[in-house]
Amino acid sequence: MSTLLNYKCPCCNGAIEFDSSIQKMKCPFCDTEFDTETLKQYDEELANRTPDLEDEWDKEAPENWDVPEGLVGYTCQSCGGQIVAEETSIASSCPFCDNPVIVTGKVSGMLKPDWVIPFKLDKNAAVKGFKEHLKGKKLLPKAFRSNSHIEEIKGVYVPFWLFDCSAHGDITFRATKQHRWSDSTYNYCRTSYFHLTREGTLDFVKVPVDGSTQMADELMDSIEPFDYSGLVDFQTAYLSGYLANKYDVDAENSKARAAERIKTSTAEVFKSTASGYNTCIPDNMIVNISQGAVKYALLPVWILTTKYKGELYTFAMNGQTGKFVGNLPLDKGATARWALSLGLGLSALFSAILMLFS
Amino acid sequence: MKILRKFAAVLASAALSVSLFSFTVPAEEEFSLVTDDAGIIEDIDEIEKAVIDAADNSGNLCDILIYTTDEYLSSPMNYADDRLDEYLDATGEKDGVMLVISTESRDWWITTTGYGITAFTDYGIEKIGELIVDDLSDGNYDEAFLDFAELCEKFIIEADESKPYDTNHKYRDSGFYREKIFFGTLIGVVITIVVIGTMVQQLKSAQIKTQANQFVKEGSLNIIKQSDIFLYDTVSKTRRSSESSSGGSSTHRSSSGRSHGGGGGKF
Repeated sequence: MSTLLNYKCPCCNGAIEFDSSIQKMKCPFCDTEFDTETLKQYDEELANRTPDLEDEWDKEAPENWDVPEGLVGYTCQSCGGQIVAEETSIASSCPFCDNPVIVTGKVSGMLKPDWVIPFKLDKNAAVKGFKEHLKGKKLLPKAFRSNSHIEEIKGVYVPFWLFDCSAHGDITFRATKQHRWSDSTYNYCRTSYFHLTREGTLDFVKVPVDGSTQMADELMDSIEPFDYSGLVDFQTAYLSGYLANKYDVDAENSKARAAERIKTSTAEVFKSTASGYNTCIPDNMIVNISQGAVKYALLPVWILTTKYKGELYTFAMNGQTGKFVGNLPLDKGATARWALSLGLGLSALFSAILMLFS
Repeated sequence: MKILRKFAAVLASAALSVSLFSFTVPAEEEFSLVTDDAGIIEDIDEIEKAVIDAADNSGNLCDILIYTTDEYLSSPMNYADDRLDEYLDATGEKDGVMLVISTESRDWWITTTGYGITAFTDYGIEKIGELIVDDLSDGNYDEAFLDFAELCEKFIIEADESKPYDTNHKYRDSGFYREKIFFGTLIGVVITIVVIGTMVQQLKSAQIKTQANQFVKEGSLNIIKQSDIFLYDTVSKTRRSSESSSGGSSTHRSSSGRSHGGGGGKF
């Protein structure tokens, strides 16, 4: 005779019952058996989960900037990119798509940056960085190396939103431990299943999200990190000799991107506290963000845009650390030649080895 | 007296006729190298020629025989040993290898004696079985028996000129080379894909970041609740494969007391 108790099976989520013949809880769907005490503990864990709340970000926004005389705005008719430069610095082409820009006159509708990291590396360093970036790439078309008009590389201050916050995470994991042994007839494997819970807090400082749609996110993510010890209070003088990109993604629209990165990191850091298991997979994740604050900063980036066979290739170098990134085109002919010669050579080698040593 | 003489003459004639009959050996008692009781061989002359030629070409060191039956074999080994013993007893030969096939129980068995035990090791018998079993399964008996004769010739020659095919001196047929080339090519292709993939990846340096690990404030991690609950266990087991790598020929004694080697399987 079985007695019905109100628990869910941790294995298959079916309604589990007490089986009086074995004096244990048994799932009628997957036949897994559990101690009553284990299920009670598991059920209590699920009932006491942290509620999923809305993220709390600082409502304070940077102030509007009364742009001083001497700075001129440019707009690209092709991609809509908006840049700012000194009157004496003549910007003739768009740093994002390499098309001509037109002067739009006095700059307006800009926020005053809180901080800036001044350029530490000059144009020569940027040119050198680009040449280094092309070295050793066996599948890069030879024509690309010669046609990239590298002298048009531009120094641009890119707008970034920098987010601080505290993340409160309540994350559960499914983990396993395995133990193997043998006798003369069989190999055995015991797999033990665990339910792990980690709850705690983790603080984040200056998580960057670029505020420009013209700057590809993967490019800006890849030149991270900037050394924030180089951050100084913003002054217009820092723009001298360089371009500045006007933001077109405000803080409100950037929060989601920051929150996504913060939540993923919280889960990874919490998972690292679960040691001694063969596998550990997140099962359920609740991460609430609070004490959020956002600042607006201009960060230095050297940018080169070039066209090859009708496609646009953009490269970026961190103007402070020198990290150079940018996807390069593939030479299909060279790839095929490499694949064929390597494939034939290795196939012959391994066939000979197998014949000799079998 | 006259009646007695006539009776004695009749008795003597009868005795002479019986003795004459006893010198005529019935056809079914001849020991042929190929016996097809199951009636599955299409061209028995061709098979007989093949086994004779194979024995001749390998220096007549060992007789090569084939026996088919439609009886159900409860012990293929004993049946095969007995058939070979009958042949050896009748012919006075000492060295033989015989392939026995039962179409009823779908067994094949190779039994050996004398030099056959030396030339055909446990590995060799298993190898020959491996190479003919597909034809037996498909009903291509003639093809299987021709292959058997050819393989016996090769195995006997190798045992005589070098050493018997065994675990440390394996038989290499065309399938061996095909298999090695196939796996060698597979390994080569996999490594090529990995290498080319790495070279293509070198061209890609811009990637979206999904985490913010570099921006974690040092020392800020504070775990306020941690629990690890054991749920349940499962145990799985797999049978261990036993491999004999020592080589050689294992032997046993048949009902006649003669020593035999052998091995077999189903088809």
